[in-house]
Amino acid sequence: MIFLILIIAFLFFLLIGVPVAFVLGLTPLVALAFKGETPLVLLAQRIFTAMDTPVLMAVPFFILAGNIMSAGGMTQRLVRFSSLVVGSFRGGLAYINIVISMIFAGITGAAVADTSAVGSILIPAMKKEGYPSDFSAAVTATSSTIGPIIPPSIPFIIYGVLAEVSIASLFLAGFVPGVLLGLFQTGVVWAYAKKYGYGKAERPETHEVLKIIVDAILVLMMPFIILGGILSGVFTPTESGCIAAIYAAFVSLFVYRDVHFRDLPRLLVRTGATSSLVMLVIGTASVFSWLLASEEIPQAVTQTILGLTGNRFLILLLLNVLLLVIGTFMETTASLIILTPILLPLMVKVGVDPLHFGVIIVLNLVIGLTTPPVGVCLFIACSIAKISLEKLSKAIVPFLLASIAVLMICTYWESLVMAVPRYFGYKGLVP
Amino acid sequence: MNKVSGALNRLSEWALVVFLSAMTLAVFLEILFRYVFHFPLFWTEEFARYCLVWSSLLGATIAFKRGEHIAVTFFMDRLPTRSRRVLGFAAGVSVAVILLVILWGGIQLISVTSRQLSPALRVSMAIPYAALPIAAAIMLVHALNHAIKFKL
Repeated sequence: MIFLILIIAFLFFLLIGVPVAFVLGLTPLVALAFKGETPLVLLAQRIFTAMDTPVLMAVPFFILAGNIMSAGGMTQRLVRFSSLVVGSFRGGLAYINIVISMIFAGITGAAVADTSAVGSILIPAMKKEGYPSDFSAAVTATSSTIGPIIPPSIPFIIYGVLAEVSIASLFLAGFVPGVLLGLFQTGVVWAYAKKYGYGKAERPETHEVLKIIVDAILVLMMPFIILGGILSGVFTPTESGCIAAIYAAFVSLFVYRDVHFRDLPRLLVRTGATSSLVMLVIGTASVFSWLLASEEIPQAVTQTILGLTGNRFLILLLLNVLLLVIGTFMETTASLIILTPILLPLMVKVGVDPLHFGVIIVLNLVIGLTTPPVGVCLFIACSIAKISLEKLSKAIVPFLLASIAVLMICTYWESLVMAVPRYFGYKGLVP
Repeated sequence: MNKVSGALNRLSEWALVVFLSAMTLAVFLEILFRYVFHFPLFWTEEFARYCLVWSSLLGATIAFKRGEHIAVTFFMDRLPTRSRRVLGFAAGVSVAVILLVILWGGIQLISVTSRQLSPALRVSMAIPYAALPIAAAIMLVHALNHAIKFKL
């Protein structure tokens, strides 16, 4: 009964356009009112406690690092650097788009920021060189989903908090899927470039090569500083986020000098506003998942599904379909916070390692960002490329299939995903 | 109303800048003192956490004013104007309800815990908890302003 009320109230609030963060607070409130309880103090306290988590400081830190770097000339520097590496292939700018997203992924951990930062520079450049707008927008939107997979990653931080899995291990587990996504997308670009004969990118003059490398090197060092600190155990993810933000500020203010002190308040406000979108959802979603837990809904779900089938292959397949659909319609953080506690017990029961499940759920939800008819990255790419959603929805299909192929590999080839974290000493469920 | 909402927003922006910078600085000091001076500070972690809560909630009010909180508009965009107006009004009321709940719950929370002291900093727990009702109140002002402006 409560379950039914939860679902109806949830869908109602969501569909009439109440922001997700508030839907997650309202829905349990309605359910509690039906039970005749109104523990308002408890509700406020849960919101506070969920936000009052030290690891979550990493969220604004990584967003701040990305904001400072993109406020300066980071993206242009990376464009020039990547054109050295992949520019001389047919379809050069499209490859550059993917490579930049992968480097960007090593600095910040959000897909949406990547779509707008990379898209606003590369989509116009690609159009100028004669690439079709819909193809340019599709590459930009898809490649930005690598952002939350290659570490650091905001969804992995949130999952780690919820599932009590080491965030460093999650970051390590993101390497293989992230690189696979990049490779598969490269494959799609290769096929397109061959079929339509796209041009090569402008090749930098030989005497410029050294300057381009030197110019980009301080940016390229960032992923190593961030990951090296976390992986060697010197820094916690929070501390490494802080170092990343301070490094970005130092480099942009004093070395590149393309950001000024007077820009900092604006960048801080933008960072605060952007990270609050995630943080508020974390707060209110904890009320929601607390109600789910107290109604023993995770146990009910586990029993129902195991009553239908105990086949791990089938359950994982069902899970992927379900998560892809949810990822399409729902915001990533909210889905992650609601679904992790519901699905994790089931996964552990059928022998899926919590770390492996983290990769599966985040991959699904992130691919959902580019799945038509709704996906935040699609909307941003559309508005930058000035094309209709219908047009982009068609152009994105081959890229989407490539992402789904990666998803399938990562779901069923467990030892591939887990190889890197195991190499660095992750134990956990032994199959 | 518009002026009040605007002034509150500017104030929140400045406070947000202060809290975020303080949080960054506190964590940086924590690292510095632990690894360089081998003298771990006891207050930085708690201080930074409370800054995180304050900046998240103040950031939420700014994002609220800018209409940046993520919502599903897919369904509403496909409705005729009339029903969209009615349901949009319902959505506005729903948001006001949850904000009032947070405001009320937050005030209660403060009054229950005001004598409690935080573990490290030894300040009244009312200081970190106050972020909740204050942010809810600011968002209510923004919502009211929005409603008056667009005659919802």
